[in-house]
Amino acid sequence: MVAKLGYRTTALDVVQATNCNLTGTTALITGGNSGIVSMT
Amino acid sequence: MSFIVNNPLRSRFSPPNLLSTQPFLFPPLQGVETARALVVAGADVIITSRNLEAGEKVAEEIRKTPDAKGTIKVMQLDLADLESVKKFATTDASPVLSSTGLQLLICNAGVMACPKMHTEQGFELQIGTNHVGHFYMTKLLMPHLEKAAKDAAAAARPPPRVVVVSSYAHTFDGLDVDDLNWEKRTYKRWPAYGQSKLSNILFVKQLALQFKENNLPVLTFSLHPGSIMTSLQRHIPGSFLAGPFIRLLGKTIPQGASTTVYAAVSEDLKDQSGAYLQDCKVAKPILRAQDAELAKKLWEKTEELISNAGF
Repeated sequence: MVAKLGYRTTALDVVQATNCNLTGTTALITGGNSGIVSMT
Repeated sequence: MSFIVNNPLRSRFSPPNLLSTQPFLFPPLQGVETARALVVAGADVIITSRNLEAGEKVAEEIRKTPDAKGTIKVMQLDLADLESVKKFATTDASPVLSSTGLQLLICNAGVMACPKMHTEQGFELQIGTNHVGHFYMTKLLMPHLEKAAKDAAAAARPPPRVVVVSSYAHTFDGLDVDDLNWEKRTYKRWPAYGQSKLSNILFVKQLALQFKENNLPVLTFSLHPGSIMTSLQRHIPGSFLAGPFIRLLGKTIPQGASTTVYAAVSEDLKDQSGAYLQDCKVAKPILRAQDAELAKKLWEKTEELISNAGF
């Protein structure tokens, strides 16, 4: 079942709902001290 | 799993050593979940960390994710030091990105509501890390975004994207483009955080305009991920009291990563470059965040700060 996108959607729900295929995609994510730092 | 997210005595009485990994035990973080989702979707992901050893532990954990189709590697980067940003963008990451191009750039790292501290070049730490560091890095990585854009156009694939994690805290405002470093004002940690997050939105707005003016097919978005209890709260006295409420009412960390991933992959956004997102949809930031003149002025002021620092 594909999740409805909204407040409680998870990151993996988005991958499933959008059916995205990122093969061949190079992604760069900046992070902080313990790997990645997030936001409020 | 670790639950200690803040040491109130330390944050109140002594500025924490940002290079230390020891005093705090962090729960899994939102950016980790962003990276995990992209790896599951097949992307080859580079995550950056000030501390390579700590970053490698995160990468190792992500590699164990069931159905992970892509790859992940770690590179060293300290956004609070423009020398580190320059080395990362022009020396360390360049050999990889020169051949692949850069299809997704996600400016995720940040510091929040810290005591008055400064970057290596003397910028106030929050504006210096959250805005100036990302601004400089994005400019240095532009050739790789351009290559990705040209390759995508030739192969009829979706254009590359730049995603900047802002926050609802942009509403705290605090932005004074003539005093980004809080030299003429009494420093306040939350307005300083608000200034940096409003700057993230204005940066995206101006970046989208420049991509459009230069006829470069790159999309860019800013976003509010939601209220999540993470290591960012380590500077906030009393946050150990707020933590249980945020965990109850706020988003989980995988939920907090959803809007970032949505900004990175959703086809629904292909005509919305420059937009601000919340809860996986386009949202309206405050009026100042929609001010084109302010966005232009901030861009020029940021370039001036970087240039005056010798970069």
